[in-house]
Formats: sequence, C-alpha cells, structure tokens
Amino acid sequence: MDRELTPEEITELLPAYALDALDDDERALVEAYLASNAAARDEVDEFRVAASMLAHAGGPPPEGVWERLESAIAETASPERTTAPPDMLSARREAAAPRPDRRWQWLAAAAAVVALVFGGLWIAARSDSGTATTDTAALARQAATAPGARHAALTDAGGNTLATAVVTRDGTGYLTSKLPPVAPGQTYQLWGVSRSGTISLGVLGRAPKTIAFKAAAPTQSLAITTEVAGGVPVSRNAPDAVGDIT
Amino acid sequence: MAVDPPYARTDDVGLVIAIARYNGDAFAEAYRRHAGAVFALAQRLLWERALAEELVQETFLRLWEHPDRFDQARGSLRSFLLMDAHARGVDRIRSDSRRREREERTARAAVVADYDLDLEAYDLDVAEQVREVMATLTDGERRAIELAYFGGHTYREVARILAEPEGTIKSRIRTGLMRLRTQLLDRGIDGSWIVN
Repeated sequence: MDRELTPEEITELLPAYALDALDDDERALVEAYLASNAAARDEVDEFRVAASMLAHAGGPPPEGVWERLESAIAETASPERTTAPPDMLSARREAAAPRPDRRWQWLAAAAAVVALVFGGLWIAARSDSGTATTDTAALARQAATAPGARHAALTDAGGNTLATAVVTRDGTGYLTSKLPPVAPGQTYQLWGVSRSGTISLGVLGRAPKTIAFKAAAPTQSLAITTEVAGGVPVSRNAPDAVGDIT
Repeated sequence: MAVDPPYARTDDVGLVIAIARYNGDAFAEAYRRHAGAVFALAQRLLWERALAEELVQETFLRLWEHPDRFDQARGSLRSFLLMDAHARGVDRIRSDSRRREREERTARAAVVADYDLDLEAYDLDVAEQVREVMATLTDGERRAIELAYFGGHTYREVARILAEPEGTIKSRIRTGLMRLRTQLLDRGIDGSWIVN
C-alpha cells in the first residue's frame, strides 16, 4: 500500500477480509485495525459465520485421513484414546482420568470478579442419566478410606453441604453431590482452585450424583458453578458451593 | 441395540474442552462430525483430492495441538474449522501459481453453474436453505462471493475477472454476505451447528 487507509476504507474491506479475499498488505492493515476495534472484530465474526454457511456441505470424511491423524497424535493422546476410526466407534467405555494441565492461554485475561479459568476437562457425560454412577460410587467409597486421601465438603453460602469430595494421593477425585437438578440447557461445572489459578475439572451435567475427576496436586479448594450446557471457558457466576480440600 | 460412540452426546464445546485434555475419543467425535464439511470445502478450494485430504489433516491437527484457538463466543466449532481450513487453503492456492491459473479458469466456469452443495442427511436441511438463500442474491453478489470464497481470489482479482470496478465488488460482497446472514437468521439458522 502506498498510503494509509482511513477507518472508513478499512471498514469497507471487512467483508472481503472475512472471505480471506485481501492481499497481504491490506490484510495486515485490517488486522492492525481489528486489534484495537472490538466492534469491527464482531462485524468480521458475523461475516465469517455467514461465509462458513456457504461451506455447509455434508458428506463423509475422507478415507485414510483419520488413520494419519491418529498416528500424528499418538504421542500426546491420553490412554483412553480410541484406536478405531471415528465412524466405526462402538465401544462405550468408562471415562478415564484426564491428563492434567493443558493450559488455556486465552483465558488468563478474564476480568470477572470471580474469573474461573478452564484447564480443560473430561466430561462426565453420563452423570445425568446415572448409568455410570454405580461403579463410580463404589470407587468413591474405596477412595474415601484410602491412605492419604483428602476430603472436602462443598457448602453453599448458608453453610449447607451440597457435595462432598475425596481426592486420593494420585489426584483422582470423586465428587458426590445432592445438588438439585438445574434447568435444561444448564449444567453444573466443577473447578479446582490453587495458588496458580483456577481450572475446570469437569462439566458435571444437570443432576450429578457421583462423578470422578482429576485434580492436580496443588489444588487447594473445589468450587461448583451453574453454567450453560457444555460448560464455559470463563465463569462469571458466583459459586453454588465451595470447599477446601483438607 | 446401537451403542453411541464415546462423546456422541457431548456438545462441541465439551469436545474441545476434552480435546484440550488430549482426549482422543473427543477428537475422534469432532472429526466424525465435521471432517466431511471441511473436506467438502477443501475439495472445492483445491480441486485435488490429495491436497484436500492434506488440508483436512492439517486443520484437525491444529485443533488437536491448539484447541485454545477456538473461542465459542466467536462462532461454532464447525465455523471455526471451516474458517481455518479456508484461510490455509487460500494461502496454498496463492502460493502455487500454476494451480492458480488452472483454478481461475475453473472458477470462471463455476460461477455460471447452478449453486450446488454436496448434501448429506445430517446437513440436508441447512444446506438446502443456504442454497435457497443464495439463489435470492443478485447474480453479481453471488458471483463475487463465490469467486472470492471458493475460488480463493482477492476482491481485486474478482474485479478483474468480472471486469467490474473494485469498489463494486467490495460492495457486492458486503451486501451479499449481509443478506445471506440476515435471511438465514430469519430462518432460524445462526451457524451455530450445535450438536445435542
């Protein structure tokens, strides 16, 4: 570009930017503009979503690609990772403990009074239906009496205990709750609090009973919030219950 | 009785969260849901199956390695993957001048053809409505958007291809995208593609 563009001229470029239809110079100008203009970023997001609708085509995944991907991720996948092609998956298995600490850099800037930061999680996907509860409950009972186990009572603002948790030496935790069901479209979410921050330990579902989670060693406290279904990256909701692990 | 695959009942946000935990099952489910759409776009952009497969692989590998790049506030997982694949695909087109020349010829032909989407049962309704809405755009809007989005052309190149002023093409892209979005929203389609 041989001259500076006015904000109006840059705004005119936003739709083309959303289509990746700018040359490198103009793209750099637009991106510099977007860095300091939230409204423009929102506008670009809307154009991009509209553009992506154009590509809303179905069809099967390409053959062979999954196998290559699986090989590529083999070194970092957790032990419970599948070895079957995704369209062939049929083995339902108990959720295994997650690998800890894959940090979400983009969440650190949360400016909420209570900024709860995702650390990634595994989903207690069946906690709503209770189909996985029986075995987990048995494991929780065993864990409660294991040597070195630590315990937490999660209480609401009135001091009522809404859930209890036990965390074993290896960080495996079990939460047993009597939380009332939340409305459809909502879920409970469990958070671990330590000096280094707060990370999500799991989306618990609408009416959790007993679920397993993994807590890194520095976790000092647990908190439960109510969030939209699927969980949130940053919670701005006051906790429903909190409790120290002792 | 059919058994759901792991994470079949988890929504896309939950999948990304689990992927951040290096959960291969969640990754497989995300692939199952969205790889077909990414592949269809990649084929339309790159025209060569091997290159399209490569783009799909790279797109999902980036999701695995950098799930933090997905921001649910800015759109659905599918939109995110399509945007990512599109940007990389366009880069690839522009870095290969020979392929570029070939695709320019093909793109010119494509704009005079009927708007066409590969349909799959899962996406049938939305794709049909997108097709209907695209049909309501002016020819100028539709051609400009298609050449830019599926042809991987800059708006300046689109202007040259269509022998129109650059300002006209910018304007058509804007009005076309706005009308596309507005009409789809009126039909209850917001691009979220929320599963479950």
